[in-house]
Amino acid sequence: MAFLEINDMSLEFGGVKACQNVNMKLEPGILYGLIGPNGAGKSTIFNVLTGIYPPTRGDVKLGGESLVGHKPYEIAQRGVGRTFQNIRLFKELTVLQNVMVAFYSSSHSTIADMVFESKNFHNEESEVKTKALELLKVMGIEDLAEVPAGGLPYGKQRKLEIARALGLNPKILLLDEPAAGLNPTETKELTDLIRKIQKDRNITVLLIEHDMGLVMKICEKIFVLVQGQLVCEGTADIIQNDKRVIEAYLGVD
Amino acid sequence: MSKLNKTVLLFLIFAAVAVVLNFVLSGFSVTPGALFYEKPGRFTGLISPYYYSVMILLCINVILSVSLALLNGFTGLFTMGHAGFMAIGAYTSASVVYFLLPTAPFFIQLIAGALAAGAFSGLVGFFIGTSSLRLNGDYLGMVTLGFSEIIRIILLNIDAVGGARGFSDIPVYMNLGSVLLITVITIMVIKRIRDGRLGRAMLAIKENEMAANMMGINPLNIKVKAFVISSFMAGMAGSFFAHSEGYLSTQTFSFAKSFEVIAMNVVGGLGSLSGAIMGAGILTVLPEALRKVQDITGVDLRMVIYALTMVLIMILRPQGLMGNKEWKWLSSK
Amino acid sequence: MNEFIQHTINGLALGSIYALVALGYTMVFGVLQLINFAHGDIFMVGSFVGLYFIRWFMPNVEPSLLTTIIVILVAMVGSATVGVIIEKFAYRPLRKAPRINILITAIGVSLLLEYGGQLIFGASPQFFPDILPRKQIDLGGAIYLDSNQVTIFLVSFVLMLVLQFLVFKTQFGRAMRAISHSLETANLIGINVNKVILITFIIGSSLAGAAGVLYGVAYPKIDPLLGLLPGLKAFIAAVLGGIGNVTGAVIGAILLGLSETYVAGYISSTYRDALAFLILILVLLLRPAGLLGTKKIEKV
Repeated sequence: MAFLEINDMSLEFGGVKACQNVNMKLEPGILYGLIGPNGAGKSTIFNVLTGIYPPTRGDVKLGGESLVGHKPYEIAQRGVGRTFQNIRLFKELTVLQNVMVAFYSSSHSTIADMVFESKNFHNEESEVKTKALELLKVMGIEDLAEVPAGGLPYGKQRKLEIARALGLNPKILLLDEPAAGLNPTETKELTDLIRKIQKDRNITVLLIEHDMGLVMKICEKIFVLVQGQLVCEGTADIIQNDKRVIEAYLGVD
Repeated sequence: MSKLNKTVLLFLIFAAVAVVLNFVLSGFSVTPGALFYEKPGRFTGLISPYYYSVMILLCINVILSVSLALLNGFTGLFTMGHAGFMAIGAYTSASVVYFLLPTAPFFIQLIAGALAAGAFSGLVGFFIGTSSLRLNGDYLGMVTLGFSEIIRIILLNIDAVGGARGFSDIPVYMNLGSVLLITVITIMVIKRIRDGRLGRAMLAIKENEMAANMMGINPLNIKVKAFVISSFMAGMAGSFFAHSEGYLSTQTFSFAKSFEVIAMNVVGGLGSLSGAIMGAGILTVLPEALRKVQDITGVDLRMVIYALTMVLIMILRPQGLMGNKEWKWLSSK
Repeated sequence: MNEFIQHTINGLALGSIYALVALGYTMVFGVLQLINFAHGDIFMVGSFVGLYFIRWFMPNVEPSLLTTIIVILVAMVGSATVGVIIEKFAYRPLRKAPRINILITAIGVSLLLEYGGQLIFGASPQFFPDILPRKQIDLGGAIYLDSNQVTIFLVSFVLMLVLQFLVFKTQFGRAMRAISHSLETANLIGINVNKVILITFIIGSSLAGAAGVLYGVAYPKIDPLLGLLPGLKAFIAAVLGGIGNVTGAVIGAILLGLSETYVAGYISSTYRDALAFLILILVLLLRPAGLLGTKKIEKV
């Protein structure tokens, strides 16, 4: 049994088939890539995994337990962290606060603790703060901790989203086009960072990316999605030589 | 010294200030009544009876404004029914004290009245919140407006609390010192909630509900919490209002009152606690200060100027007077 | 049964007045996403413009339908003027500000009109002169149709026909509906957004002005706060029909007018106002898009 399983999953919106009979098996501690042309349904798979859309048919299992029917926050609490294609930061909050938000469900101070500023409250706050700062350090943006997130340059916002998702202490991290809009230097830096995080924390990563260089370089296994259907999976070598993948990207008569 | 003790110490200091204030304003009287709950029997020229009551009203409005800020400013929930919660609190507290505890000592009346007011208002807030928080934006505003008006019309039709005649002869036991103390406590409570994990979750939901959801936060749970805390406080404000005025009429709690509280938030700066206080100050004091203008012009331009000021602030300074800044003592660090 | 028919006639008349006001609410919401709380007061302005026009220019006029129509037209111009001033000086500067600011401004403008009205017209109620011959048509079985009810039906029917034409058959109507759909897109495809919004205010306000006179004719005691409750009711009617939807506003208003009259007639008039708010709550909780509205879905 795989760690994360998508079993024969289909999703339809009023007759439009966004995903059809998708099967994916993800093992722990591996970096996966999910590629495909625009509109293939890559982000839709993320949205199903995180509980935004319940699948029309089929099942999604994490560690053997079905995620279907669970709310997004419950799935997040079970260890699925994600970033967004169109960045969704808490813009008016500081960089540090953004990450601290992710610790909400793993901390416990009550309203009374907050109001009386109890010992519990102080201990927990400083603990969360320390952990959040560590994550910022990992992403190399700790010097920006007190800046409002909305004021960060684009590349740093992408990094902050990853730091925030890590705050959940996820078992699996879903990255939706983490390198979109970055220049080659930034992309290279981010690629190394993702690789490092995945290794250091030994977590599963599934990333959607259009930058083929990035995907081929770091992903151990790649899924190819075309028009809502999985057409191929395997290592970079297999993918690059697969007829259907080439057809999908280059078009065929 | 532990942090809890620091909070207690702070409370004791404020309480002492409140007692001293009462002592001075009552003309240096040392009876327990004068120190804790009676309005001054005679005014010594430090403050006129009129300004004394404006100050009490100001405190009550600050409580209302900061409690709405928790919903509107921090959690991003637009509601137009704050007057309804205030009404529930006012009538609950007045009924409890008038019917059940007419001869009890003042502090029992105060505590029982305020707690009953807060609890009942919070309970109603819980039910309204759980039923309507599926709605967003303007729709939530509209439905809360509807609930608030229904509450008012129900109260209007309960004969035991005076119906259309109003509820009179309510025991009066709030004076400036005690209201001021409670106001400061309310502000501090809201500040500390804002700066804790609950407050961060609220702000996150306001900024991006979807992302907050993906960070393991149950938005409905946080919103209901915000709703209950806010209505609890608005209910308490109603209680203090009832026992400082001694008379209640349902007309006080019409949607115009809800709008007034929203205006306090927005004029001061939505999302700023300091702004909520400042807005309450301006919108309470302005109409009173304008009475002087009326003395000069001979026409009642008061409310016209008040309305005009509101419009002008919105046009010239859309972010409100404070923007999203805080005074130092209310900032999160 | 006869009683029921009588209530129905009265309810339709009340509903028609609500409808004229509700149309303005719904159209402005359509283009600006703004609950224009000052709209009820524009309705009040219509009443007073009518009243003062009669007082100053035709104090001894014979009551007739023609007189009524002239007064209505004048009131429409008066209300439209106020509407234009409000849009230009209060709402337009806030086009890019957060929506809540515009809402607060609307509330401020509403207060301004109410208190300004008290200053100019005095706070105490004034009698609206008889400009319509008072006749009751006996329909048999103790059912009466009042001449002012006939006028209300006639005028609101004609005005709604005109509006229907404007919204669905003209260039302006297309532009207005485009803006309701998306203001940015409308801007991009070269629609003069400000102009369309201004015309929307002119139409909405003049309908409210007409309603103001009809209200004065039917309930001849007017004061500067008279717009408050009917304004709120009309807004509820718009929500019931599906806010932003022109046909929905009319249907919602008629339903609200009818149900209010039935409740007042069969149950108790004390709960008449509660009914409207109850409807508001139920609609929003059960079908927030209203009877004719459609739901919008957020894209992730």
